[in-house]
Amino acid sequence: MLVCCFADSAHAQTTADGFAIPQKGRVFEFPRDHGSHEAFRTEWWYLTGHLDGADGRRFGFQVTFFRQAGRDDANGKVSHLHLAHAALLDAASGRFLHEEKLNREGWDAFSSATTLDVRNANWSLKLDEATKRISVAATVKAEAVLKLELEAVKPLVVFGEDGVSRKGANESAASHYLTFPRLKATGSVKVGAQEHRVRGEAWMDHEFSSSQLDEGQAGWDWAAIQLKDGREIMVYRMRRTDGGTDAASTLTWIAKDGALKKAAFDWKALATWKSPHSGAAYPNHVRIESEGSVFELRPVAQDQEQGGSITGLPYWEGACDVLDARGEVIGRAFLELAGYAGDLKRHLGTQAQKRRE
Amino acid sequence: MSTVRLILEKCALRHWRLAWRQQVMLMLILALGSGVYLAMRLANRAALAGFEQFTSGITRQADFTIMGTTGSLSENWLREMRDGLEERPVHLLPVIEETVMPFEEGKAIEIGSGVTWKLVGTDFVSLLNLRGEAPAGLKGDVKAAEGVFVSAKLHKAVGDEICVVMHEQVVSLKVAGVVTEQPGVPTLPETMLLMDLPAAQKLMQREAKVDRVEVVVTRGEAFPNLREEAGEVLSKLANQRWQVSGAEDRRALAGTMTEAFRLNLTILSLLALFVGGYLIFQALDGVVIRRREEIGVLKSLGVTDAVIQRAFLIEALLLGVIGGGLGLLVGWLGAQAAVGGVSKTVNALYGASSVQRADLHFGEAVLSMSIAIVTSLIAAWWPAREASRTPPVHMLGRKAAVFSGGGWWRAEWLGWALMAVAMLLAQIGAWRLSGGTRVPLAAYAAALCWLLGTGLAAAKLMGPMRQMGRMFDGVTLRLGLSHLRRPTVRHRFAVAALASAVAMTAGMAIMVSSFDGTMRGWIERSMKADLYVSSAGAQSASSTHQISAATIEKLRAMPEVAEVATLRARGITLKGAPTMVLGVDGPFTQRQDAYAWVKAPGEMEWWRDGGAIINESFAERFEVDAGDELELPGGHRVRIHGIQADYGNERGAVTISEATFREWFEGEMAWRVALMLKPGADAEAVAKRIAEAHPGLSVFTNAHLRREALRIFRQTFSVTYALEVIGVFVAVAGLGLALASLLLERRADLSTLRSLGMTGRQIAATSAWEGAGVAMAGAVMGLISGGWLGWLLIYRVNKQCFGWTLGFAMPWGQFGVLMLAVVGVGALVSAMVGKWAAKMKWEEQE
Repeated sequence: MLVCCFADSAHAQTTADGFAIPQKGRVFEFPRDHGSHEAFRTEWWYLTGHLDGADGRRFGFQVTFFRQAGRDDANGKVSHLHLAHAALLDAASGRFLHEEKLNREGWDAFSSATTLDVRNANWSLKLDEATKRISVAATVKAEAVLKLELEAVKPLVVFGEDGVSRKGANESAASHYLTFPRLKATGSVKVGAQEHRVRGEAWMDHEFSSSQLDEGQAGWDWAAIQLKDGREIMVYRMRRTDGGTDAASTLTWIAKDGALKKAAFDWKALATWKSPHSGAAYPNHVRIESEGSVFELRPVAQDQEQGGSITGLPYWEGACDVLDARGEVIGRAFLELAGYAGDLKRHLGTQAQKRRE
Repeated sequence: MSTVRLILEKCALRHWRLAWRQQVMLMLILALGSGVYLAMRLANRAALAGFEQFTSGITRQADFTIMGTTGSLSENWLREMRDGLEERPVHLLPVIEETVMPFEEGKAIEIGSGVTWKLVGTDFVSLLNLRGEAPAGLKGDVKAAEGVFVSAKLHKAVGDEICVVMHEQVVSLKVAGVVTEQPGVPTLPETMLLMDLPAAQKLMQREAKVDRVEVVVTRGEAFPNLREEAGEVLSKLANQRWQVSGAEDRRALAGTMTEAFRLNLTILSLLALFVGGYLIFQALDGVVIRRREEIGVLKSLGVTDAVIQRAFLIEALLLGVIGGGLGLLVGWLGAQAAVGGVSKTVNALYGASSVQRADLHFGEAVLSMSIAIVTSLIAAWWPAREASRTPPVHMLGRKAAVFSGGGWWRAEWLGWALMAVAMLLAQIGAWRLSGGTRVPLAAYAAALCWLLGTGLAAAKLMGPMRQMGRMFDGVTLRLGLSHLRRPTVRHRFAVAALASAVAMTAGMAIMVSSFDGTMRGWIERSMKADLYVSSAGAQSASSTHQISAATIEKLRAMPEVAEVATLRARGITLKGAPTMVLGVDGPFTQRQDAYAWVKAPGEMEWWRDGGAIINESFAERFEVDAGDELELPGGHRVRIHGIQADYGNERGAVTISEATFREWFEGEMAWRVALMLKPGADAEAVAKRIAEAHPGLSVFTNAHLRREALRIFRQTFSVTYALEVIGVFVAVAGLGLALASLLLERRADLSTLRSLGMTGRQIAATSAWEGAGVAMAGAVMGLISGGWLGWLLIYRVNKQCFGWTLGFAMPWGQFGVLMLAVVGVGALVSAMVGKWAAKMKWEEQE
């Protein structure tokens, strides 16, 4: 698979500390570009989805693999840390299980540079080139097991202009953002001693950059909406520290045939949930308007906060129902609210922001 | 009860006031008896705590530990393990470690006496996933990777420098963090320096290698049998490359490694208590005798036997409580003194300990108190019974008392019978535990029977003593020894205690002397090189400190060096027991005739074609013999050609050729290096030059190493020797007390003798002769009995514990000194007692 974008050689190629800045016109080659891009500081493979059991049980899940590079001040050597999050929501009980793992690159955590093959301890995400199927396996604290086979229903899309998705005014605040917007998921979910055969739909982002946040930004709200009519919407709102919305915020429609269309949008919080764990207030019930359509994202359960036990960065990432203006469920979504607790800039900000920390 | 209290107040406490010295003495004896036992127990535990701390893991409770069978584990194998475990939530924590020794410029360390630490490298990032399971305070901050985290107990601050010897290098480390104790999480032992894995691997020059993997299984409903499954998967994948052991196996292994040593100490301290028991009995017996008249009066007044017996037992209980309390102090103080010795011994034998404080636990305090109280009650029971049963008329009478009880103690035949039982027990083999540990239980039982038998039979020698007295002229001599014609139970007790104590000391002296002689011969034969080089951190036979190939080359290049021979070593686990594989330069050992053979190899060049030799300990532990085939870890097979005498370690060792060793066990580094110098080279000067050029190396000249080797061996016996000396001291004190009781009983006789014109000096001389007679009988019996005990220790206990064959050597000189000391001190103590008795008026009670 080859996706071609146009180059703009006038821009800086690297950050001050030598990490690559996403460049327009990058030629993506697959399966290589499903793999790791170690020239960039930050990379993630972000899988979210909704599953329905044969017994009628509904689950929301998230399995995310992060790679974060760091340069040793003393010898300039680059080393990589691999962080991973897994979460499972049992909609019926409202039970939300989640876990975080952190390992340095090596025998127990790695991301292949040639294909999609990511591992963090016993969690894995791997593409079988022959069948084009992606398999994912993750556990949550020996309380839950998720084993899924994923198959792309719609082709991979590349967000942004000429292959670069801007996150702020600064040219380094950008990423290469590749997404499978709709994957058919089949497999099993085990919660406690009970195992459920499941089917459902998933969304997978693969994003790599060297700075996700620009100066003056505090975090982002992101949503991946899968409508029943076969269309999807990807939307992110970069929040400024003064509470405003950054101009780099984007909403993209994905048509049935995979065609992308950027559109203006309005994001409004309808209700806020205060976490008893971190104390953070998350506006997790929102209304998004775009091109005359209204989408109400209503959380399936309130408590879908990832604890950030290792990184100290709690965030809300949860399964939502999508309702239209009449209150009818027209799809499902995953909503992410980052930067409401902890210091996101320290991990994902610009070099200048990190230095100030 | 009020009568009992009245008796206690009016009689017992009055006696305590009047004869406070005796009471203090009695309490001290009880304190000594329970204290010695406690001291040994505490010191033993403290030394072992250090040992266990050394072998314990990083995590609170690793479910399994994976270790390479032939050396390190490759990180590639770890990926295989992870793949094999699939999605099972099992945490694999890699650990690399080396023993290091704190280094101080210009400070020479004797082998076995230096403090040893463990430098442990583990993945700090990975540890973050195990919060609550690993020491708190470790941040996954990779920037601190070059530094070490230390326990707060080490009193170091962040940024401080710590110099250690690792292999032969002096390495400077920087304190990156201080880990403080936090409730609910494992603490970092003060003997452990923790370092981030990549930095540790780099420092140890073992990149992509680890020594072990701690496996922590996550518990949860979704994986009900995860522990078993994980163990099975990991074991199945091993393919002889690694071994999976449960935490309990590892702890058991650490335990079994020192089990024989611990049991030895416990049994020896119990034997010391056994001799102490004689003394306590004699002392309490003396108390009863001194109060005969008073008891007679009480009985005449109608006080019942039961009340009198109860009053004595309560008094004994009080003595036991006070003596036991003092025993806690004695034990604790003794433990502080002994812990260094015990720890050094554990270190010299097992190479993995550090001196720990000997803390007193509640359970041990209760045990020690119980020992004092129970011993006091048992010892008082018989005299109390005697006192309550003797009719008042006898009590009030001034004639010598006739001891009615203890009939069996007069049965010398029982003594001979017990000795015969001991001889039979000595024929039984060792009790084999898992991990190749053997405990010579039957031999210990034989020792106990023999000591008891010796005690009972010793009285037989008192007759000949009297006969000997007849050969000389002198009133005091004849009168003194005449009391031995029909020895009382008290004489028998005194002689039994002395004979037992002397036998134990003599037996131990024979064993030490035999060791010494054998060792000298072995050292003479096996240590022929001019210089021996090892890492300064190599404190014991099982130390992991090694010398790099580069350093060996530098030594080889020295102009004075004619030949260099290396000894390579790798700790392995065979049939679940730790042992060693050694790699040697076969032709060199043959040229030097370095081995003392127990079974000489039929094959001259035994090292060829997968040939091997084993040492005696190995043959004994693993029950293999010359001619057998042996499978080493990694699936390598060797044929055993011969068995050599080796007193270097008790874990056993298989020796193969250097070339094979390097091929099978990653043996690029050497454990020991022997240098043969060119004719005319000054060994001392060369040693000095090497030490200056390589501060992390210990260089010994031949003479120095021989001295060191012997010192370590003697050190191993220092604790047990101290116990024997205590035994002899207790027995001589017992003799004094027994004579005091006898003379108190003979107050009327003494008064008559004085009326007949005998001076106090003559009475003292009479007593001295009597005491000397008893002491002589005890010493002679003890020495004869000690001869067999020595045989038992050498050919049974030692052979079964360590597998070493020793040549029997009699320390005649020491025997002579022991004999003179016991008889001399016995006579002196007896003379003092006689002098005290001579001053006593016959109507006096005390």
